[in-house]
Amino acid sequence: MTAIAEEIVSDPALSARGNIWRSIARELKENHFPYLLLIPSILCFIALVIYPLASTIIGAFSKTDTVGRAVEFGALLNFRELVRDRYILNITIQTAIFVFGSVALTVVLSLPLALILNQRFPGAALARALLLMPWAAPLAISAMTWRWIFHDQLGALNYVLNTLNITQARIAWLSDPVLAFICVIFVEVWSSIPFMTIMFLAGLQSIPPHIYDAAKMDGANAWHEFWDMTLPQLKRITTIVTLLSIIWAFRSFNVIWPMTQGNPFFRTDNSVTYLYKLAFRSLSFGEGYALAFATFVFLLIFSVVYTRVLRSEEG
Amino acid sequence: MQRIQWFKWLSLVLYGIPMLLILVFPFIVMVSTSFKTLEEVSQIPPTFIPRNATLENYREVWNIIPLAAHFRNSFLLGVGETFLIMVLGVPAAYALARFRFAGRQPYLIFLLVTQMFPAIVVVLGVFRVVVALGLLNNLAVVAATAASFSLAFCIWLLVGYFSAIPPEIEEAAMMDGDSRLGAMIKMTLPLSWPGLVAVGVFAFMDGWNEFLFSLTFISNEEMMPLTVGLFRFISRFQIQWHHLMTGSLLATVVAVALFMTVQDKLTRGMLAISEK
Repeated sequence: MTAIAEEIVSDPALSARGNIWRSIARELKENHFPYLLLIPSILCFIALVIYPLASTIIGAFSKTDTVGRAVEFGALLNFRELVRDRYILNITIQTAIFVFGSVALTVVLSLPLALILNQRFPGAALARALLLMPWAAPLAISAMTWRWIFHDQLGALNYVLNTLNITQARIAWLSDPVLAFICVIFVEVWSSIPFMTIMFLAGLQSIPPHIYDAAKMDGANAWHEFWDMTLPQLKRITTIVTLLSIIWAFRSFNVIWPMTQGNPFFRTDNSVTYLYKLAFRSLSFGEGYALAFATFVFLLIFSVVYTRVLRSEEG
Repeated sequence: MQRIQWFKWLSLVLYGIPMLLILVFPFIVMVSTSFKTLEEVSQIPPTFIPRNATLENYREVWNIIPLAAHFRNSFLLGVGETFLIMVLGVPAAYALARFRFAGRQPYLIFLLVTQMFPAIVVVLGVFRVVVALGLLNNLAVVAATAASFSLAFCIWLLVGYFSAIPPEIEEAAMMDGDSRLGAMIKMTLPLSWPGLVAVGVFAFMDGWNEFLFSLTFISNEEMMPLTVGLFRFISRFQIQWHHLMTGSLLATVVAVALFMTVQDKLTRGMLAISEK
């Protein structure tokens, strides 16, 4: 059965126009069991992913009413409105800093943590369990807890800073636009460290120990060992986990919304929270659809380019 | 050798332990705040270890917000999502792991692409339909939307677990007169049980931790899950942090405890995905 399938795909003569339907029919007839198994998931995707996505794309190019229905064809109307939006430039810059800043910080902070946790020490199992907690906990609820920690008068952060005599001020973390933006990035990083660290840790453990033996005989020091032997081995997992993290950071809603809802003055919004406001607060569904479409297209292009670059590097 | 030992302990004390402390800090604060009285919570400067530790909050919080209903709803979302992921994902993953067919590669790529757009895109699209059909405040809708959104990732995980089981076992069963389906149910499913449990728990947690869809599709307080219920509680009146943290702690404990039971299997599954 497999051979037939491959033949159909690869044979150029068969994929000539008139024969496509016949070959699909033949494939379905001879190989129907796997297709049957796929049907439930395909139906689910059509109803709850493809259909909403299609209606978003249609909506992006239409005039819409206040519940988001497409009324008539509007070409680039929504995109023009989006470009004219006085917050959109800020939102774009903030989204870029939020995504790339938080992912870069997460990588930089997670790698040393993984190297440390990879060693043997008493309490290592406990350390691993603690590491996983931010990942397991409901993120929206953790973000609310951080909001409490950042509270100016009663919060734990100012208390700790005051006690350690770092500052005596009661800083209003979430009221100042710049500080608030740093805070939401901090919490995003906080929530992504466990996954990244655990992936690095797994990557470290899959390095065959014998590659270090030769180096030891040559008298390589620990730094060279890390730089020339460990890092290259981690390259593959790093690139993939970084791509995943970038995509996830682009989708991030559960940190910003419970913490600041984009306040003050839209200065902590990213594209997702802004989109939410566009649609459900100001009921500008059309503009929201346009922004959603732009985000999707950007992520798609970014992922394709990113994987291409990696492939070509691997040779 | 001596020097390496020394460096190891230094890095642990200077970096490892402080990092872990920051990672668990919010949970420490949750515990600490949940044992405080209103008086102590609003006291300046704050305290770290409650001076008059009290269990009052754990009794009161159930009457202040419909916490029991929130728990029930979160539980239903978790169960619903697990059920849907299993029913939709297991057959699909089995087909992708066991057969080579024409649509296989495109389908795998399609699964990857679905990961690429923000959930909010789906929210906008689904919202209209939900309003038109009068399905606001319906937990099943939330569970289905959330499930469809993690389904792709779960299928990838399941494909990994199924591929690890040698197909010869099924072939042997089929020789003994079992059908393909029979062989799958009798041989492969029991063998991949730990993987299925891991994905099931992952799906449950995904439902338990769900926020965006519930926030959009549910406005009736009695139907809200914990995440949205607690969020509503903080945006409504003067925030009662001691009650909020008590509810938060209870919601978090369930998720963390569940996660710890399967974390090993789950992280190995994720590693397998990233190696492909």
